[in-house]
Amino acid sequence: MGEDQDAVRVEALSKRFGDTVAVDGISFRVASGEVFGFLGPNGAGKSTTVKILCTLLAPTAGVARVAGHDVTRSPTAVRRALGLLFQDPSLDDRLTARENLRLHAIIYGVPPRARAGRIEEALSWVDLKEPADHLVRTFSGGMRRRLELARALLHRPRILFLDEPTVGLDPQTRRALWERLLALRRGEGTTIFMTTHYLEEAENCDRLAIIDHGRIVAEGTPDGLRREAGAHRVALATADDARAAEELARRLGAPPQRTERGLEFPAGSGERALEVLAGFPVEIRSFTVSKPTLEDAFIALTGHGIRPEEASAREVLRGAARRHGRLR
Amino acid sequence: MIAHEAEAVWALVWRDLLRFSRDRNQVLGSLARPVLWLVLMGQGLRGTVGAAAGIDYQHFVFAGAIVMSVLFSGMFQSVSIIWDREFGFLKEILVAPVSRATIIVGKILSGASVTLLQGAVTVAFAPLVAIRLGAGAVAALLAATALLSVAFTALGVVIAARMETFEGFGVISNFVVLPLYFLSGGVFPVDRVPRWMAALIRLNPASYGVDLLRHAMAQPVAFPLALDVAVLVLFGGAMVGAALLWFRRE
Repeated sequence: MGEDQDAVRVEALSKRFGDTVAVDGISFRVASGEVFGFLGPNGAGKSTTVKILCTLLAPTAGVARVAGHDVTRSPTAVRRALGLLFQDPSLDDRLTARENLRLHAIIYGVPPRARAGRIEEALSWVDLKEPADHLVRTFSGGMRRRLELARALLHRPRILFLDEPTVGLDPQTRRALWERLLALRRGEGTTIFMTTHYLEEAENCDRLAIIDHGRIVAEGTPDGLRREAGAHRVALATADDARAAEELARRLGAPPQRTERGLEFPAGSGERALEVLAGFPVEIRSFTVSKPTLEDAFIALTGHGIRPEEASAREVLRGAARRHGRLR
Repeated sequence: MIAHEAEAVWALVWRDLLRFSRDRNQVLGSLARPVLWLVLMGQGLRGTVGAAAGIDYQHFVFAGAIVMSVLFSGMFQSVSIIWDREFGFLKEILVAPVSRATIIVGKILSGASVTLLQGAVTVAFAPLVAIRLGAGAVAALLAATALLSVAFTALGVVIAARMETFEGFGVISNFVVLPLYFLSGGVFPVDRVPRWMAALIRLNPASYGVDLLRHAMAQPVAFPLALDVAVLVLFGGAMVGAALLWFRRE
């Protein structure tokens, strides 16, 4: 058991492009049935890792096994075990939804007799039964994403890879997609491996690895990572912020931060915040304690926030193509 | 396993035929191009040239018009590889549990099928320029067109494989298609040209394509039938081989 039960197992994996190190000796495991996330800014090495795991890129060094198969030695076995939801659109939009699924079913080796049934099932699962015979170019972004999800699952993969699955989707579509994914995990026990730079999305994961500059800087449950980030933040507005700041500096041993709305300081817990403010000599008008967010954890661990980089010209072109549905 | 790979090839061909049938511009283009070539070029030059290589000029350009259709379409079909790469669909195919060879063979055969279709449309315009063809001649023309379609689609795939952009592909393909066409013996007879040009014509695989089509129509020819077939099979084989080698590295 143990090792063989791992859906993904990566050891000392590196990928270099010329002088650039995109992935720098990372190691991690994803257990079967787990929802595992790679959280990091654009350019951190997330997509490169996914491409290696999906056999689209060869690693420079290290070992990666997916569903027990080595990605370099038996790529076909790996491909049979995985489903992929790419970061960029990958449908043929000159075909209908049903035709896209049919093409996938054949190429991904769904047995001929099972095809028609599974295609119908998939279409109704993502609510695309009605427009099933319309060309995909007439579909909205959300419909396309749903179709891609249905397609990725058509051959019943053991592991589903999602590379930035909700980029460019509105919040409502994003939530609906996640409901489906979590239902899938409950129902089929499918392992989900995803990359994201959206913090709220990362909350859906059982476990997260925070990746920055090609390295894993921390790994754990979302709650665990928040705890690592440490302090709760206390924000308060008072009748006299200058006096309150002096008083707090005395009580905390360090000056609080001045913000637009008042003062902010870190506290180990909510209780500790109350202790600090007990018998406070300045009138407190409002007072909030917030648990550390994943963003706080991210900043604490990497020293910077998750900043989306400027989109390259090619991404802009693709985005435009996606929006207008004019290009294939 | 092999059945699965074969079915995957078929699925890729099915996809491209479906796409072609839905692309009104491409369908119209494939109908208009032979008419333009046969009627404008044939009728236009006929007044000045009259006859070439001992036959009516309109009949003379017919083989060239088929080769032109094949060259244009073969190149155009392989652009879709760049499209598929740029807009993501190629990845969907590349992570499929089929071999790279299956994907590239599927791509060449699907492009070649659409190209053959376009060549066949040109063949169907024979009566327009008063060329009478028996069933045997039509079958021979289509067989020759099929061979040409595979060879020149494979050439297009080899070129497209190296291209990052559509613009680059447009420039290159014009630099390839037009010289191949003009130096194929399809526009003017090959026996009254300067020696350097005759040498280029002999090096051009499209010349053997034009000649093969002339064999099929019992027109005056420049090379033996066996040589035409041998050159085209070798050229096509080399292009398919080059495409396979490239794709293995991708």
